[in-house]
Amino acid sequence: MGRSSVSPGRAATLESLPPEISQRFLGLCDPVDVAAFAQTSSANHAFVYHSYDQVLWRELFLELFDDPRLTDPATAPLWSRTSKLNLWQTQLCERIRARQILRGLKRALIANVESVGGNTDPDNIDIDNADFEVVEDPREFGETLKVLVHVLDTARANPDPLGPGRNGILRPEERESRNVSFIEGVLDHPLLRKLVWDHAPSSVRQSAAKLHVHYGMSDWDLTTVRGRGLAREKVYLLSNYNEKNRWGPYVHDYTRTPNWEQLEAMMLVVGRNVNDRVNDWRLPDTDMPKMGLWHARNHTMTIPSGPKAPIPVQGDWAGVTGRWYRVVCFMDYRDLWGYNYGDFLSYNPDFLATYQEAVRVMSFNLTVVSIGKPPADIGIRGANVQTPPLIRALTRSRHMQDGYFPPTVRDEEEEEQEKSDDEGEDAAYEEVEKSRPVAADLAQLAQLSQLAQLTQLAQLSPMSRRILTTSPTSSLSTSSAFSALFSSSPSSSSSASPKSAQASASSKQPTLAQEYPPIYFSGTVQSSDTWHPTSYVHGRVERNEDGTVYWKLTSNYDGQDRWVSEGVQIGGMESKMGVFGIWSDAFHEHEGPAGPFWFWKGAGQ
Amino acid sequence: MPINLTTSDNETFTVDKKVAEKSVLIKNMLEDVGESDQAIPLPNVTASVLKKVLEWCEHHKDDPAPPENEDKDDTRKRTTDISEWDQKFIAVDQEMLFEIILAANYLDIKALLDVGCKTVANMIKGKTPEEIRKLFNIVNDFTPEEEAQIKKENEWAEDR
Amino acid sequence: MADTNMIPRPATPPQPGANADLTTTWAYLLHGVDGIMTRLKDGVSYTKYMGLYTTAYNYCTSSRMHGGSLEAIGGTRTTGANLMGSDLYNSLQRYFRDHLQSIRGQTDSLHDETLLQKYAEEWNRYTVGANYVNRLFTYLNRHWVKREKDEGRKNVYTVYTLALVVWNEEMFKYIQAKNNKLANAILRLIERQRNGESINTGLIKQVVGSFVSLGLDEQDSNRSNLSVYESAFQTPFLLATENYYKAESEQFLAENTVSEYLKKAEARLKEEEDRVEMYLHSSTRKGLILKCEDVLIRAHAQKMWDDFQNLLDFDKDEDLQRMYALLARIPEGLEPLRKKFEDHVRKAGLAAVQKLVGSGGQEAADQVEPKAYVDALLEVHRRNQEVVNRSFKGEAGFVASLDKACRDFVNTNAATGSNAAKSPELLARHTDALLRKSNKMSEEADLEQALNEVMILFKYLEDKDVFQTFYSSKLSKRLIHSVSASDEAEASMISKLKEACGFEYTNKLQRMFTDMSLSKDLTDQFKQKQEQNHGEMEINFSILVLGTNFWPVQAPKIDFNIPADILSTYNRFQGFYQSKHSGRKLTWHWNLSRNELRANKMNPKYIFMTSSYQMSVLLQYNDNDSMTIDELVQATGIPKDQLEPVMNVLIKSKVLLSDEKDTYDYNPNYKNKKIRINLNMPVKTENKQDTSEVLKTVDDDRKFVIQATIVRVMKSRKTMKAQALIAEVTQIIAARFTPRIPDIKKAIDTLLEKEYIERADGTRDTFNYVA
Repeated sequence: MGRSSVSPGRAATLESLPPEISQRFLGLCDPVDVAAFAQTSSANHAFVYHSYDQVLWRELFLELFDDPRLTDPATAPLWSRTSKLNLWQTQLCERIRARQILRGLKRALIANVESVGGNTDPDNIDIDNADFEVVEDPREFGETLKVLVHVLDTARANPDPLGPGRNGILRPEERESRNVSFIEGVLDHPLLRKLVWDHAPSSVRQSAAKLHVHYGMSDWDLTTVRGRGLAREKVYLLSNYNEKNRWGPYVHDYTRTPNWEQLEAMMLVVGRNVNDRVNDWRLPDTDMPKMGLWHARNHTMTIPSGPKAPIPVQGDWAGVTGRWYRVVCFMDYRDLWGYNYGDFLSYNPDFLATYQEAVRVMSFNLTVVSIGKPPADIGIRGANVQTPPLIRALTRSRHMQDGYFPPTVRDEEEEEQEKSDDEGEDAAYEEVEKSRPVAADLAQLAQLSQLAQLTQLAQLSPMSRRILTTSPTSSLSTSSAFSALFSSSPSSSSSASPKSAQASASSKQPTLAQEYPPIYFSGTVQSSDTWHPTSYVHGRVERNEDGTVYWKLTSNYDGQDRWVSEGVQIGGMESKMGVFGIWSDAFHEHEGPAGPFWFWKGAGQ
Repeated sequence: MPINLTTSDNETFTVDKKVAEKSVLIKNMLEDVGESDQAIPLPNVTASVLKKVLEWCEHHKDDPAPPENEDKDDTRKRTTDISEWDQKFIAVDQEMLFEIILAANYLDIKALLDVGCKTVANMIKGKTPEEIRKLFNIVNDFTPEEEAQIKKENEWAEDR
Repeated sequence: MADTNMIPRPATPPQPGANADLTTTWAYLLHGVDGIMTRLKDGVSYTKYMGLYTTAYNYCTSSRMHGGSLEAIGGTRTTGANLMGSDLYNSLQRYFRDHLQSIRGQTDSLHDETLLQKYAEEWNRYTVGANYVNRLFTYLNRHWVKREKDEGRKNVYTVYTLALVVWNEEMFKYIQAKNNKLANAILRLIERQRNGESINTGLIKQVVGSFVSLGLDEQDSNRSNLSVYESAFQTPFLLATENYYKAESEQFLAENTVSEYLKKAEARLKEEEDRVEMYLHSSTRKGLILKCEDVLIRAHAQKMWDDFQNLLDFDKDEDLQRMYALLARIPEGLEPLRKKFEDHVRKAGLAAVQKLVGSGGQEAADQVEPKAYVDALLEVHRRNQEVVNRSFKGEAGFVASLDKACRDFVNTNAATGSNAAKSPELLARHTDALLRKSNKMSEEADLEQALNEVMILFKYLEDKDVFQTFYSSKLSKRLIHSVSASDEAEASMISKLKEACGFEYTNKLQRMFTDMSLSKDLTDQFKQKQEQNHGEMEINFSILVLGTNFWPVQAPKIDFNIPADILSTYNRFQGFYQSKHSGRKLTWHWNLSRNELRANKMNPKYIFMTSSYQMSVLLQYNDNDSMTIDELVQATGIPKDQLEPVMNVLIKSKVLLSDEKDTYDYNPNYKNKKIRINLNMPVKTENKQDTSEVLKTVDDDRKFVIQATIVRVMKSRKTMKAQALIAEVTQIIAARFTPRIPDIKKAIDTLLEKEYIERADGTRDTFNYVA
């Protein structure tokens, strides 16, 4: 006994254990147990709190949370011993504290229900009548929410399933995040959630809203009438949208910082409307809209597969290529006007709660037009420009065979267009010649596209073809395979081109800034709108330093830009949850309408 | 080939090589120095403890060896689960528990050390400081002021 | 080198207690460690081992969580668990350093082999000991060292690695600092070995091994890399090797032949390969061999290339093999050889044919005997094929050179001049000779072999269609005149041709065969029928019915008077055939038919084998003794120009006599030793006629082939540019012959006229298929 035959008779006690061992068993405990242990004696206290390094705290931290050094490698030095910041300890304590506070609040809420004899079963709680007066220290509560948001923000990112060495599949363990699990575990009771969503101090409203948006809609959100009204009040308040926030769900400071309260309201409005109708749309499983903590994460989009799946375009970090869905909601303009400029609400406070909005769902087929540089002006505000035949030709009407959408035949208009293309060859050629960047982008497009795209391009009008093959900046003109496509021997193989195209694209290593350049895209839209069953859309998606992904879409009917939409992708790039935002009049006329939308990716072709 | 082990209180145990080699220390030494019928002295282990340790080794002698390096980024969460046999085995008084832990540490028997540590962790879980002190006979050497201060320091862990 | 036995061993300090301080602890440990490092051969007992382990363990674990009993470190209240570890670690490090510093001076006066020996000895002792010590300090490794490394501290290592690091710093660099003594010692030994001395290779292996062990990975100190090995040893080694062999090879070549050099170079390369196995690290192999190849081979490639012809000329097989093997190692080393070989073969081939032709000019060229020609070509091919197989390992490039050269001289040589059809013709004639009864080859196997040899040359022919046409014409003659040597041989040849050129090529030939057997059946059936209806036939009759499209025969357009004697048979057969195949027209080739006549008028009754023309002439003399040419023309229906050669043969054979011009009399006094006499001799001029006929046929065939191919291509492509069309057509036809562009263009024009294709609107050079 003891550690030496030289001095027997020494009792083996907890304290006589070497520190390595103490650390070993303490590392297996929950942090609160370690705290209890630290209070037992000064030696134990010193061991826990005044150790020469942070190994114990680090172990405890990493058991419960994602490794912050991996999530953001730039911060790694802060976590090392040399920084002397003790971050493992302080961060862990802060988070556990948040957890403890919330657990306490949960207990209090449940106790309140019990005390009036209510049902405490989480599935059957009468939330509307619960007593939410449990927060004694609002400031502390607010801090807690901020901590949760911080945990959310520092969650481990999913790896890219289409990255090098991958085949489009993420294994379950790769999708894990201890941070997200932590949040899920902490907010595990509907009463507590309601407390957070609805009763957060105003100073932390944004944080609470952010949590709500990421958590998704719960049962109560889907049934509350009053809540619905409140959400609509926020969403349809037109004064919310102006230049300061670019008519989008942003803070009013010109920065495009996401305004989570707005996004929360949008989610509640559109989500509710979608939930009411989604079964009627008969979408395939892979295309159903999804919310929730595990869908509000990057790279959770379903990757289309199968023979008809669009070929991923190199550099398309946002997964633009392919099919998307969008749901827009709008009020009848008179009602909207009445709410905003009249006084409908004063007459009928439940007006918005019981209102029946119009809801439209549409499908998109998007293709990438350019990456990094904007293409030539395709007609944003003010210009009434016909989309040039090149862009037109890049899109093709698609038939939706099943379900909701009427089939379209190829526009007579389009055919006329092509005929006049041929006739007005020279004039149009000159015009396009002037806008040289287009050809350059096409060169880029050719570089990025694979054979399928080349073949598609081969079906262009002769004028387009001529431009592509004669423009000196176009790599296509020198591609023998490409010209082979146009030669009279259709059976010649074109394997040379994609390889050489890819070789040139991959020869330069992107810098960090270049890694996620803005992507410009366009596409066709099929909707249930009888006036404009087929229309076009063009837009842009970009990502800023902190990972927020912004989308902008402009709807174009009959050659005119009509509506513009700004939105934020919840969960970062390629998240399954998709984009929430605001659509508004493209020219932002005074008193022009606006409304919420939800935009998500499908897996079909 | 039988191996002879002599404890600090001069008791000798004879065991099968396979059992003895659960201890990485003994395994290495046999490799380095070679085998013989000489007894191996274990100055840090008494007979009663060694008896228990060998009992464990005997039971686990056919278990696969644990990996060399504990994986740093093992993503699986650790557990304090202990097999039923091990639970019964480790149901001893505290002193013996710590002796076993120390012996396992000294003799480099990782799995046994794990059993011991998990047991201690389970004993600590969910207890207040006072309860922990009672359980392990820890002397509270804080002054009242210190105690209050430390309580405040650990407020973060308090139940609310 | 001090003898450790003479130094009194320090007394073993007592084993420290559990809470001993650093000084006591270290004193004990030091003694043990030093013992292991310097006197391991004395052995270590279990007790000692455990004592050391336990002491280290106790020290490492001696800090408690109570802060009180610790040595205060700068006054801060920190648990010093980890600092205990650092104490021991630093002490160990100091020990290793001191230890090495104390012994390294012993190397100062040593050089070369003695230096290496000392180094290796110390290294072994040191590493074995360090390994032991490493085990004893397991606890330190597992906890303190690991923890430090986890925190990102570099320069903290497990004990064994620490020992290596210190060796590197204190011993290795110390010795190397003196002009790279260590590496140079090795290099000098290697040089001696290259010079033929035998050296202690094991020693080098050990020392090199230490270099390898000393390289540590920057990122993961548990992994070794070859940084030390490469910089300290490999780089100077490669340089020394380069210099050594550069000098040696230059001098050697200056004093010896290329053949000798080849041997030397080969030996040296092998030696270097072995050297790597013996005592170098395997990673050196690639660079070493490349360097050697560069210095030994590439640097002197030109001399080798220049000597190559010499080797070829004198059949120096061994040298050729060696040169091949060496030059194969460097890229582009073989290309000049291939070219030279090709030229060599070509020259040989042309010379062989030239020899045949002699100095006779065009006439002599025309007179070249097919067999001699073929044999000469084959000989050249066979000989050089052997060279390729023996000396160049059948390498594809050399085979290609051989083929190219053969293709050149087989098609264009002294015998052919500029006539592309000559070679196929000669080959066809040779084949014909092989397949005739007159061919003396008795053994079937020999014939088969000869035919295979024909095929060897056949594959080099450019105008294979010329061969085909000749072959077809000769085959038809053989069949018609029944002079085939054996049916099996004929069939075998056809199948060989089919294998080489495909079904289309041999289709007609095959059909000819079929017709032969069909005709036999026909003859039998006719005979049977006749016997049924009319009793035995008076005239023995057999017929060959030839399918018009397959047989290269032309019916003469004459109005042959069928002699009465055979008229009835003729009619009966016509009837028989028409009943079998109504709708088919039979054209009788009297010029190819044969008859047997019995001269009842003569004594003895000779039997003459005649052609039908001859027969019809002779039959006239049943009624007349003398006839003028005009009378004969009238009687037989054979025009005069064809009749005259017939008469000449009859005159020559003395069956008929001609005193006056144009009158031919029957010779009643005809005498001959034999009873059966063959009057039906082929005319010699046939040959020349043949040739030009054949060539014309070839031309026509070719035109047709080109047109057919164009149509096929256009049909599948629908529309094509002229350029592409020509290219594709050429490629398709190339298997049979090389079409000339003007011919293709002509064919296109023909097809345009015939409206098989048309020009695309508004273009000059694009065509569309006309469905």
